Amino acid sequence: MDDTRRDLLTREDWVAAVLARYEQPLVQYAYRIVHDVELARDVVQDTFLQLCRANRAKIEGQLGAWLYTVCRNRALTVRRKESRMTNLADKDVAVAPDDASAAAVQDETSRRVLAVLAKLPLEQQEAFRLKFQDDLNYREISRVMNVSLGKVSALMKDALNALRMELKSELNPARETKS
Amino acid sequence: MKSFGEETLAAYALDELDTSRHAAVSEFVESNAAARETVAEYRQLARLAKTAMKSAPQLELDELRRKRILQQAQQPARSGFVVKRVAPLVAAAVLLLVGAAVLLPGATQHKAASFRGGAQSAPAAGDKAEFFFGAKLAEEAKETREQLQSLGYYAGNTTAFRPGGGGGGAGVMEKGVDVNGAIRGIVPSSPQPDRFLIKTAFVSIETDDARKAAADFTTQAAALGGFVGNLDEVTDGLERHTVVLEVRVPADKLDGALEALDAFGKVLNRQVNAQDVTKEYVDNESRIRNLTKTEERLLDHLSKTGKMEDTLKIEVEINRVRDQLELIQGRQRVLSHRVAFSSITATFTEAPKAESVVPAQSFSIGKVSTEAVRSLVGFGRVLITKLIWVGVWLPVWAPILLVGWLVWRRFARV
Repeated sequence: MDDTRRDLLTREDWVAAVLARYEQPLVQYAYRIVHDVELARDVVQDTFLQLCRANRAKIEGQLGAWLYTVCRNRALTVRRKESRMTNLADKDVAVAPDDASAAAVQDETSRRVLAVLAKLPLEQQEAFRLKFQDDLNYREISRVMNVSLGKVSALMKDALNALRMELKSELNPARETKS
Repeated sequence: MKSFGEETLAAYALDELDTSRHAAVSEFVESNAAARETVAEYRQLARLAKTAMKSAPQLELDELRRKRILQQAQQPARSGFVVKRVAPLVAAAVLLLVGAAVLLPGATQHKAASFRGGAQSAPAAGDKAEFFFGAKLAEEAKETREQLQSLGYYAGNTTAFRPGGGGGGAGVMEKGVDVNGAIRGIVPSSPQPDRFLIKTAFVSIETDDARKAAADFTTQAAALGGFVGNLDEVTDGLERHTVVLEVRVPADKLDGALEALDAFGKVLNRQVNAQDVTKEYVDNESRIRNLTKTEERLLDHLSKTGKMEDTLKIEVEINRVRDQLELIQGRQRVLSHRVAFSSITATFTEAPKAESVVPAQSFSIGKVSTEAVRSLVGFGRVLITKLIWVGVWLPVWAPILLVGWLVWRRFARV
């Protein structure tokens, strides 16, 4: 959405446009945290309701990071409430893999990628998914996860190396270099 | 040339480096085959990861939630300025005003020594009048109390508050009993007695209709200004009623009430007791007077002292005095009431009646027949139950019986 067009949009149109752009990735992201579709939808609804009340001018420059941050915080709160009986430590309340999506993927390589990803530490998984599934950059990921830029960089390197080890046979660097 | 680690190469492969750093890394990668291969692998992995992520089924919101969000978007946005800047200022201003009202005694309460609650207009029993006073208005508060007392209010609680800086106070006065313990508003106007006697009477009367007598006596007691305390009714096997009625009548009407009872039938027993509580009553009166004065003196001290330590000590003392005062006033109220109202316990019994020739319990052929049939059915059930048991246990007892019979036959033959 370019700036000129954005300025012309009414608040309702703007929210509708943001909803169309971020609805699916946010529900997916919330689902990875709360493991329940309805709870994830509630979380995303709350996120957008907060967006409706927020100061548009302040968040527009960092909309993606803002939405993911609000969504993450809300989802973690919901998950803590849901998990109170099991008394999970904060460290464990992180993004977990969605096995259902891995099972539904038809392509063998993609399935292997998701399987390797599922074995990674939770923090690496979250950073990796925010990068490749939600198209956030390092800076945005660091803000959403509330960690330093260096930490994001390290998480990403470790995740990529883990994938590299597992998928070594399928990689063809020569072709990539040429391309 | 400077070399770079895998972390930087990964960031480079994913286009996460700024322009200057990107150029430096780019130069390094061009000149280093291993780095070039690593970057190529990272890029390929990134593409594979993206494909894998995007190929997973996508979840979305349902129509209801989407609609709710868009409805909310139509509402005007809350102004951050009002919420974050103006609201705290308003809250601070309100706090300042409240603080000033509390910290500057007399500034806002100098007219507060007047009372409210319609006290001017002949209060009824149980009515309450509240009044407040500031630090420098103890005298006005005293006047208010006296004014209320003259209207028939009882000086109940007077509470000092805000320790330090002179203090202030609030009070509640209740219509009913005055400081001397004399009942007002409840008892018909009667002169203060010389002796305070609690009178109780017990009367037993044999009458034709106990219920009617009790009802009539209740009416008469009410006409004398009394009321019913307890009522107990018993009916025996011969349908003979006994009613025990406890009424309380004004003390000066006790004799009249007892005379009225004579008209209901034959008086079997009459007993009138009088307990003299004059000493206790007078003692209480004197203690109330002294404690009230002590309380007033303490309140006066409280309004003059400025030291926190003194204020706290005086307040402790006031509370102690007030506790005692309330206890004695409560006891005095009970005594006053029992003196003012004498208790009569009247037992109305009916004369013994001749026993009926026909038994009380009625005879019914149908009922007897039903009982007989029920008994037969019961017997049948027991019989069938036993037969079932015997039948079910047949595999156990039949062989034993058979063996026994065979043995018996053998020996019998021998």
